[in-house]
Amino acid sequence: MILTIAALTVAALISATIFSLSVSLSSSIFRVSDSTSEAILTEFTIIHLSKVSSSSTDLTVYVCNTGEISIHQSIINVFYDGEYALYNGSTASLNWTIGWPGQASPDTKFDPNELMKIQIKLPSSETVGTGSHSIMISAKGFTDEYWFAT
Amino acid sequence: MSGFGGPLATGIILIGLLGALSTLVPIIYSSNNNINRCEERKFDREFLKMRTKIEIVNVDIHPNRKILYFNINNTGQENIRYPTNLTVFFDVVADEWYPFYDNAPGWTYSITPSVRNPLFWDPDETLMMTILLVDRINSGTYCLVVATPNGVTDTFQWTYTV
Repeated sequence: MILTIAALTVAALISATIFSLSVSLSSSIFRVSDSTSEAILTEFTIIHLSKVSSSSTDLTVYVCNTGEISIHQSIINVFYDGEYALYNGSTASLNWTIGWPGQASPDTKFDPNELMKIQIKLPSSETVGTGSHSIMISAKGFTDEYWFAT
Repeated sequence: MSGFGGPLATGIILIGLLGALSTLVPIIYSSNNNINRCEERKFDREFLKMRTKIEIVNVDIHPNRKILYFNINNTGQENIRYPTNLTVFFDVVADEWYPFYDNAPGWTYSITPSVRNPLFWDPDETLMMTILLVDRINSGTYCLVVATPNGVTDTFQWTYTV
């Protein structure tokens, strides 16, 4: 009788553990699926780089959200020639600022079909110089790169 | 252990397994469906982008030198819905974004003839874009960039002599 009760208790524990693991796994699968879907629906395109010369100290690119979801500006990363630019960083560093053309009261989200203006400022006393350069913007695992030559 | 203890313990474990499966299977199924639907939408977007193409063909300048007319052909295979969503850059002093606005600085458009869908810019149709400038243009090299909502662009550069 004792053995039976022990066996049933162990079986119940195994059963409860399996069930709770499945609930936990389901929640993880759901989260992964959600973030994967968001990553698939994220897309933006650098459509224009303003005039730039070898003596330029800043660069302005316009980016259009060609995807299907909004991107919060805090998760946007900007790189110039492979170097990470700081958002609103000091003038001594490679930094960038954001603008929303045509919007009187913009929010902090980059919505589908919206235009975003990114101004990259080189560290003080540095210029673009001659050669080929790249601007890379990434968010939610999506990346768009723009190459230009001076 | 004797009698019904063994089968009962097995039954309890099986109930746990069935409960786990009944929780996991619908989640896996719906997650998979969700990802597939997103992949299909991405494919549709890419397909649409591949079939979208525009070409700026010429510029005509008003005698007051403050109004520019551009003819732009839809050379793709897709219509461009609501041309007001086009993004326009024109360089007078520096590269400048122009809003859709019927006053300077701004741009407006007309499509002639717009036979199929009056609100859309259909393939083989020509959109005449009017750019309204604040200051008149002088001799120099200018550039117009037009981008469709799905990120397809065309650039037109020309030199003007007064």
